[in-house]
Amino acid sequence: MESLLLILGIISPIILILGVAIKFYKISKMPLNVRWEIYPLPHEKGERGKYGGSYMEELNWLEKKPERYTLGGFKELFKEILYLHRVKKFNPYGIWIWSLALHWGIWLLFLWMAILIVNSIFGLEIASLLSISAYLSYILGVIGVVGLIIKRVTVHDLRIYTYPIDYVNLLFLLLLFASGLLSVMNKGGVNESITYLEGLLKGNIPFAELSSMTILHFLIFKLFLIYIPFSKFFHGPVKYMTFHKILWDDMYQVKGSEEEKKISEQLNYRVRWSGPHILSDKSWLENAQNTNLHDKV
Amino acid sequence: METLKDIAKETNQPIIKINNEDLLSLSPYIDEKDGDYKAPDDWFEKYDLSLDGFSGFPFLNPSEEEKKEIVKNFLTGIQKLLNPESNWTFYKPFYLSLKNCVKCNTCAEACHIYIGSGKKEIYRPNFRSEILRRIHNRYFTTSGKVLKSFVGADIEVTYSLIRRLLELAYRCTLCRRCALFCPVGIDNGLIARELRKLFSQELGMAPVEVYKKGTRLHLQVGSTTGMKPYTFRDVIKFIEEDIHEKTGKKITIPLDKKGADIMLLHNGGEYLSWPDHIAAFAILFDAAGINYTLSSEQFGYDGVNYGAWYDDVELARVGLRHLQIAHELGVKKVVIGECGHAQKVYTVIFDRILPSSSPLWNIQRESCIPLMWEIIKSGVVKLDPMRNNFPITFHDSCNVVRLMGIVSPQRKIINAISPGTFREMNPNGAYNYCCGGGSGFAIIRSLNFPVFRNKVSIRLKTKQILDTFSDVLNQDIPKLVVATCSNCKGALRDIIRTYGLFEKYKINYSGLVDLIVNAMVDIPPFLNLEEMEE
Repeated sequence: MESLLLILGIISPIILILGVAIKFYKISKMPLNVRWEIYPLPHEKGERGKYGGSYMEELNWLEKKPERYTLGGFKELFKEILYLHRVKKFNPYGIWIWSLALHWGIWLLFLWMAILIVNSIFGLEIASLLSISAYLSYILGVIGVVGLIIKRVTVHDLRIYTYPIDYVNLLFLLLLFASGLLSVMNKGGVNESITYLEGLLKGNIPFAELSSMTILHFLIFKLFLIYIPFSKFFHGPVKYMTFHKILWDDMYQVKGSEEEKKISEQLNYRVRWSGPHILSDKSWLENAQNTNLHDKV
Repeated sequence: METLKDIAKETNQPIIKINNEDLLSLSPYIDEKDGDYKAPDDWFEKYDLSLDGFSGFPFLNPSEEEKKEIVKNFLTGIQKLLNPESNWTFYKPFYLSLKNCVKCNTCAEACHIYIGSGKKEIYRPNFRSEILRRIHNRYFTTSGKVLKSFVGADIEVTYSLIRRLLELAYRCTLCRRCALFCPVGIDNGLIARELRKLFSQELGMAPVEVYKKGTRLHLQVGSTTGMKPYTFRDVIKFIEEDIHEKTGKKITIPLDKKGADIMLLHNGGEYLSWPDHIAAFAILFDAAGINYTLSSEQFGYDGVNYGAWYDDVELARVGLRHLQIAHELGVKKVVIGECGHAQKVYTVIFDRILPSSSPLWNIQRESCIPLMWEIIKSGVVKLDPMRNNFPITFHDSCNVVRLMGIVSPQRKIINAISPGTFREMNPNGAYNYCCGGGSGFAIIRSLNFPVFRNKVSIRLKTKQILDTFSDVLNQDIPKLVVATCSNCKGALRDIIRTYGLFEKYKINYSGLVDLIVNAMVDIPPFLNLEEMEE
């Protein structure tokens, strides 16, 4: 059991990173979709970025290189990640405050784990000083999860869209935060977490010195890391793809580019569809060129 | 609605009812005295009105054998949507939207149909997506096959379900306002379009107005209006004569002029429904000395591309032909007239339908709006803003603002050609509400679909227009709603007719170029706001 916990401690972050990386790789290998952006785009400069303008507001835009505000996209994404500003602005069910608490619980939990790692590697003894992040994480996390569960159970418009697995996921998070809170409220306080992480990094966790709640908390945290890429929790990382690579992707093709090559290849894909107006065995290009085609039937 | 599974109920009765008292109120502006609408009783046996009591599909119910075949083909269609080759065009956004929704329903109140209906569950942007998601979970994932309802894999595919989904795919105007609201970047508008695509590309099911009388007719005779080249040339002659009669100007509208700088591509419906709009372009471009041409080649005079609403193969076919015609004319640029979806198709979507090595891709494709602003800005056309001294508001076409990012030039134009009488709707620009006629809604006339459109879909825009003019709602002053899209104008016409906005409040509508030409000093006023067209 002790070896298992040790191994999990080592492989869980690896699985998280590999899992997310493989998923991102698979998404990046998907065909290049047609442009499907939605305005406002955060990388538009100045006023245009605010009112939702684009380079297409100008004449002869193809002859000009659009100006970009590269940081804009990341600023917008962080606004979403740290403040959930779309949920705040548009959600009609009052879930923002609970969702924000839950998300900050997660960010602070990662921060706390990072503090523990830095503390252990460099022997800085900063963990106790910064343990406020652990307390805040666990308290916010518990409040957020409980609030969201109540919302999902009591608001009809949310309840009918919620699967049992969604409640399991929320309960799993509740267990994560509640076990963390109980562990730091133990006699040993945050010192047990410091001891656990130091032991983990040395390959020898002193289980006898730790409360069962601390051990349980770290076990759940490791399972959480493993679970992220394969569950709904992936909705966090996937935002990079949905926003940056689809909804904010307004760049037109450039001659000789990778995009041009991909589109040429994709036009040779077989169409396969069986509708009466489609030549199933022909390629996309052949179908597109067949403008005289009438219904097969 | 207690459960989403109601969508699969085995009944020919609607799963929801639309009662007047539930609808978004238009009070105090409009006093709606009509009783609740109900389709003729025999229609419930003859057609399928089992979604909401409305239908745009006048086909008879199939036999049991045919139903089984439809179920089989529907499931095959989902597989094809999730095949990177057969759906390369939208595979990535579709897959990510299907897989990553967290069901927070933040998108709900983005939708004009959901709000207009009084928040009926089936019109929630996420509703149809969630049905498709649960079907996908049930039939195409291992976890769904094993864990069933535990992981949201609880919807069995039946003919009744498919038939309702077909209707439901046409209860969204694809304005994609919901995608703008989503914190995860899920695109429910796209999912609605993917459903339409599945029905068309696999089952051959699409509204007759967008398929048989839409892209098919377009490809067969050259225009969705049925207009052939010789009729088109006659229409042009008529417009030239009309211009002469109204303005005293003898203008020859250039046709098939090889090597012109610009090929101007209008929505074909304008020639028949709003010929004055075509005339306005001719007057403005003539006055500005623009070196342009129209094409009288079969296909070259109707710039619509209904494929954008429901079918990628038809989209590619129509678009390719337009660009071939432009290429044969040797023009430098295709400028798309006041037609929202066509502007988006040629500037945005067609950017990646062809490789940039293709000579067709290298014909520049632009909206007419920046060109019109350039003309106004240059001062080459003499304008008197006092000609437009009446309250004006602007309806943004979703395709032009939210989906292309052209927001500012049209506002600069209106401000330049009116004496401070322009007022914005709220919300506007990229956050605007759809007119209610987008993605084919304005042209679908089968069965009682128009009743749905007029009762529910255009409702929020009606309220928005009335709110915008609330301080001048009287019969004394004419008021104008300007739009840069044919579909939107069709919806505005429906709004004004259905709710009597002209008779009650003297609210009229026009295209943007019409308003510009109305301000030209060397011709009589172009708009007649004292009359509403028949």
